[in-house]
Amino acid sequence: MSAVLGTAAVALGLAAAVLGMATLALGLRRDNPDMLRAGQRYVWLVLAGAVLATFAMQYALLSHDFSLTYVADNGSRSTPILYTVTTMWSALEGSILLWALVLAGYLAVMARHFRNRASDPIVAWATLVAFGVAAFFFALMAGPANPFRVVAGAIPLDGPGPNPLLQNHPLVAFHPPMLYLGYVGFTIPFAFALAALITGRLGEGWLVETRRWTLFAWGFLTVGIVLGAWWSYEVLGWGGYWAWDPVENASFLPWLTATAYVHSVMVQERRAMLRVWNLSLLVATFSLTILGTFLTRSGVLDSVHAFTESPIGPAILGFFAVVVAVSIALIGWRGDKLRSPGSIDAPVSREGAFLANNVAFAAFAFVVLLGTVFPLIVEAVNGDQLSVGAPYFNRMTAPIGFTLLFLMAVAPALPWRKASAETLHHRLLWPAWAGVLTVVVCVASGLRGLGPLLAFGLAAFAAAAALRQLALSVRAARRGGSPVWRALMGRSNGGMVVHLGVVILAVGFAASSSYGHRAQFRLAPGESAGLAGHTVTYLDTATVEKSNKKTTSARVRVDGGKVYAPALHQFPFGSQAIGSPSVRTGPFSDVYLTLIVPPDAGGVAVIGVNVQPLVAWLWTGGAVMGFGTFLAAWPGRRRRRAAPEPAAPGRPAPVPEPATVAS
Amino acid sequence: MSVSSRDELEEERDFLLASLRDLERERENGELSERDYQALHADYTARAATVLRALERGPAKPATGRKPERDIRTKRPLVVTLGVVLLVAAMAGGAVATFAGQRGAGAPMTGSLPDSPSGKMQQALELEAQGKAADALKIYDELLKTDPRNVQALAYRAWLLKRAGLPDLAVTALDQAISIDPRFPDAHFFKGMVLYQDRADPAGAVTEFRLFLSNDPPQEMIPLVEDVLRRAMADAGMPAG
Repeated sequence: MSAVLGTAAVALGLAAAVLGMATLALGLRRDNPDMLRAGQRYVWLVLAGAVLATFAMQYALLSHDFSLTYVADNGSRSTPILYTVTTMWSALEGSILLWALVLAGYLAVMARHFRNRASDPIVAWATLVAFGVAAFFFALMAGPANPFRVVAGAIPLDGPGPNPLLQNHPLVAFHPPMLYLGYVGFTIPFAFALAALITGRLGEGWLVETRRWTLFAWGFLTVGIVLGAWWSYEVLGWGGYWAWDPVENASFLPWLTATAYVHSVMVQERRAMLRVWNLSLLVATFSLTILGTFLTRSGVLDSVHAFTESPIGPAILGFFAVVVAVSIALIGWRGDKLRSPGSIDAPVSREGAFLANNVAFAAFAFVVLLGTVFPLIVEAVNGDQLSVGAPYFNRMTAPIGFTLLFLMAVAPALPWRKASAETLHHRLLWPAWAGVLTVVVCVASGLRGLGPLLAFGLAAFAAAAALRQLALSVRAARRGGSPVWRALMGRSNGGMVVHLGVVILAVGFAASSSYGHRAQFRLAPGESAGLAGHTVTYLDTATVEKSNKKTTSARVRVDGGKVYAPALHQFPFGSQAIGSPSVRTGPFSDVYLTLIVPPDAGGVAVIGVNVQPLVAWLWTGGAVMGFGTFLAAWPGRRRRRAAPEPAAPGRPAPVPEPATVAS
Repeated sequence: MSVSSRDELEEERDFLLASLRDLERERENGELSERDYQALHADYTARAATVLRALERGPAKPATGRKPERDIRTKRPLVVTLGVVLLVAAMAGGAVATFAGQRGAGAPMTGSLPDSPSGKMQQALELEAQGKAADALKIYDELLKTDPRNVQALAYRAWLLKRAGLPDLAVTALDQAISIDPRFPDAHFFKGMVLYQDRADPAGAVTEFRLFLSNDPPQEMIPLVEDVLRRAMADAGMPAG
């Protein structure tokens, strides 16, 4: 039943996407508003296809329908229900289904949002492009990545379950969907960018239309990446959260270009500059999400030659090439129309700072991209299997990170056009003093190391600058009789809250990566060991056997207080024991415990202990960034629902009411 | 005036008017200083007026007047940007070449994790599967340096020694592993194989294979060991079953 329903749902989604494209293309060619409106309605069929396919997959997983290859390969009767649900995104075919579901959801929201402008050519073209992306992913499911393929031969009675690492922590229920909400969300601004290029309406209108979409996608991606780091910290047991591995880099690359775009788009909105650059950033962001999917799903990370054998590698690479080629061709075609009417009047200005910020983000993205694809290129050229180590990424990105922190402090204080020395002095004096004072206090407290001290100083500088901006807004809100919380709403103020989140995260990153302590202790029951001012006492070990795993957990008391239980899990189909750390999280330091070697006959166990300062600041910073994004995207009290007249085909619709777009 | 030119101008006009209202709101919120506000307001008003005049008269004029000046002014930042891009590209290229090294089996393509014992063990097993026994042996030695009672490392190191033609050393290591954890099935299997193939002791091998099977062995290994057990029993003159 699941196979039939799922296959039919995928066929429905694919057919609806293709028919939607055809109807819209015909409507645009014939200037027929009725056809354009009809084309939009296919969105609901695409959504129905994706929802039904997801329902079929979840039903198959939960009912242990091992007649489906996907369930036979990744499901198990002994897997707990939460991880049975998350099995949908634990392997290739299911994750493509999740992608299609999220994309269909975005398409539906887009269709509803622009329902009064369905006949506007820019909306029609954007929908057509989004249909094209949806058609690609449904086609993958209909062909090489079919999640509803039926088992050939005898139906197994049970399966191995998902990868043990993906059934070890509830964060797996949130991290991938959040990441996909970010990845896929960039389809909408990308579709509008292409629509603007195709229609030639290259003013700032389409930016305004997509601003909130971009912010939400960026916010989800940010939270998704932070959740991924948290998952890595809580599950993998190596005591860190970021290792520059290709999967992490794949999610980080579009974040970098999207962050550059979120800043540079303000320059275009305010000064009508950087049009080509902004289009290029959007195209780069969307392309990098596709490249990331290729890297993580094609098998290319195992071997550059493996992807040709993977079911979807060549298809995704081909799609990536089409996206890049079409986008570059369109930008080249519209080159003359993309010339900006304005230019930068002075380098020391807000637009100058945003440009510098964009150069820094672009350099950051280039460094990460080069490091990530270099081993692939070398292997493709001469067959050598190389690895680019973490030191490359750390050494190359650290100066860029410092530059970005500095710009984060300075840019909000700079006026547009040109900054005078007097303005700089007035706006940056006390934030700069905050930075200097922070460094002095840190040094006086005994902290050493150029990198972390510079990071703390610049972070304090940036935090003070952001707080100053927020304080000004609060004061203005009070003066105007508005509630204080209103002062935090809107792009600029929400952006300052995001900056505060980045500062918190940067401080956590600098401290935890510079001042951590790590040791392994062989302890008999009752024995204690000390590290960085903390005492761990090994009490005993217990083994619990459940249907899905055998768990050996040590009981370890930290600083004479609460008892923690680092464990090793042995899954029935896993050859390796999977470690599960236990962490005492505190606002100032974490004590991270791992059971490295279970007790021997004499009861002696090897316990790994990491003491790292300010790790919790990373997760707090991520949450503040997410909250800030929400504030920045919040419509605000001035939003008024404009009821724009539907445009006749071939003519642009009026831009929504300014109050709507401004907030 | 063509329809598309008029459309562009109308879009530009709408954008500028929206920006002017946006500016008022940001001024109210205290996001802009009075000076910034005045400067931006003047800029938008002037541009809006130009566009409105163009809409009345035709689209050609506003675009032509400033073009040469703009071209000159935009060159400098472009050159600076290109310079920065080239510098970063050169530095990154040099750095990536410096920090790239031969990838070990099971190692990630980029980045690196401080290896956990289980990760190292996995790496050693993969090296062994690729025939890189010396590299695998190094990892087992590292693991045993940290934890001399690592049963898995002891047993798999012993298996490598057996394959290298050192059955006596292998048996010593396997006995050590079995004394630490008599329930670790792999050590029994390896010892059984050494006894059967290298020591011509099928009876001793039968005992070890039976211990393997009675200690919760990996499912996929059971048929293989049952087969070799049958052969060992036959060689030892033991009745089947």
